[in-house]
Amino acid sequence: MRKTISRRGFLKGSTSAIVGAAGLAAGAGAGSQVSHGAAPTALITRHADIPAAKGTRAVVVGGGWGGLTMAKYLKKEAPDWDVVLIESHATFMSCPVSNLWLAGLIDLEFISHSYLTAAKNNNYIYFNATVIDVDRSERVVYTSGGQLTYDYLILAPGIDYDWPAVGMLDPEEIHLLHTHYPAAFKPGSEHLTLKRKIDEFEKGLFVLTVPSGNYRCLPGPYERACMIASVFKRKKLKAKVLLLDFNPKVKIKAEGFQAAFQELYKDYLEYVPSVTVHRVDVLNKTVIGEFDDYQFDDASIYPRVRGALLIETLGLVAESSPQKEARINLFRNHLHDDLRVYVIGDSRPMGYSKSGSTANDEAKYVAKVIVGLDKGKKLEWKGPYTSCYSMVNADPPEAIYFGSQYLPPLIAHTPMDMERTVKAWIERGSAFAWRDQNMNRSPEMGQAMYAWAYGYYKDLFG
Amino acid sequence: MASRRKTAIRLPRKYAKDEVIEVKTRIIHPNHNGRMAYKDQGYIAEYYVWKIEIFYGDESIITVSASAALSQNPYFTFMLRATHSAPLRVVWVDTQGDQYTESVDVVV
Repeated sequence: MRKTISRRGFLKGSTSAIVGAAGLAAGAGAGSQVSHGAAPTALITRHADIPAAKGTRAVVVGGGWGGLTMAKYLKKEAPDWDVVLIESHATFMSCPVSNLWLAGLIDLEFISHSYLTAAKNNNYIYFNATVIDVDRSERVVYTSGGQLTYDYLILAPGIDYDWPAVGMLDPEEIHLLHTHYPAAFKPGSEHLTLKRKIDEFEKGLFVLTVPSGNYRCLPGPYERACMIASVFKRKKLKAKVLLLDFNPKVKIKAEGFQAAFQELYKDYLEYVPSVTVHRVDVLNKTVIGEFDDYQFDDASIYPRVRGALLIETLGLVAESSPQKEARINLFRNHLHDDLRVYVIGDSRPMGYSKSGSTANDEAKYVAKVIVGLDKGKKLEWKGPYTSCYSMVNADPPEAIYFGSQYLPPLIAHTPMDMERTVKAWIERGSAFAWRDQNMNRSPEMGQAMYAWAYGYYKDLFG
Repeated sequence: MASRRKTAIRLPRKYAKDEVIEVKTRIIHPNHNGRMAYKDQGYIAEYYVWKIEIFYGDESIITVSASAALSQNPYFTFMLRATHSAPLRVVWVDTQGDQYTESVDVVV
């Protein structure tokens, strides 16, 4: 039997206290005061209001591109399993393609979807709650809506922002920056705020930043700069997008983006490479860089990203990970000491692009791994496939494309992994098994981008 | 304010005579070390900044001999004692023989 030590003695040790507290709460009756500390504990230790498990239960945490794919494909691989998707949002909003909505090319309905529909169509349970803790020895997930047990737990919590990395240490300033100039790379309110900003912008400088490290959606900030510039161009505003990039040059699809910057937005967009952001002075509307300060009229500041806070809360961060990503097996995505817990999506430590399409393909592979392991089968490793369109022109909609499949990750923890990895990299001379790209923007590619998004939404929700 | 040029020098906003000030310099320039090859194109020729020379007035005060190990868009700072009013001139030379010059006046 595998021996796992409970990560938090706290939860187990307090079982008796919980029972006592629950009794107290019940005794007090509904509506009256409850003794201190009893209510929250009682709430998370009650059983979640979901149908009882009918077979092996897999719990997926996080309903983004990775989590939705995982829930659907687990059910496909093992129809007799009981799959629960825990997600804190009540509606799904897609970050991929959202730049098109910011520029008014598509409406909000195109990128908004219903978790209920996904659960209905694919026969799994959608549970609208927030995960608070996990007890791995007892295999229990504690959520804001009560506890539930699992046989397999798949964590797909995505990203959080690393504010200290852009010099923001004071919670008050972080709050100001986040509310005034959100990055809009975690969909929801951030996107709505940014959309309003773009629609209401009249003149001056609109600053966007590109962070350091492996951030969510590598071409995202460049595409967004093009899309915002297209709005200024269409409205003939005396306005300009100033794109401050940490990187020395455009990080991905450089040729296609540079051509768009030059040919389409000469008067509306300016690209400044090698800008290290030291701090953002929110009240004086200034980005304080290592070399220069940049005064802006409006902005969307994209800080460095890190693995989701939940990964840290659960004590699963890899010590060597500069972006606080999870400590997992790089080929099978499970914890090193626990074959029942998996991490997929943007909290993974592998250097894959933090994008929806990568998470989608990775989840399909990991779903097979989990069901395979359960049935005693071992699967051949497969690198995730990524495909990525970026809209660079709005009138007419024209896009560029990059697609590839990843080789084994270069960071490896065992000599065998390392040998295999180095061999593959030397043979190929790059991180990709193959790649395919089209840097010549065209309306056909623009149409292909809509079809791409439509196809993926169908895969996630249909 | 925003740097709109390929080359730039920055001095502090305020400084007194004989004060030691931090000078920042930067050039937007690629770095190809000459050892990278693309499948169809063969090796990419060496192309990087190999020399940076700094003049205070007519006097050459710093000469940097760089190599391919210098970064892309090199950013270089140094401390200067502002002893007199004179132009501060930075000259970047790259491996293709191109020179880039930028200057700013030190006023005390």
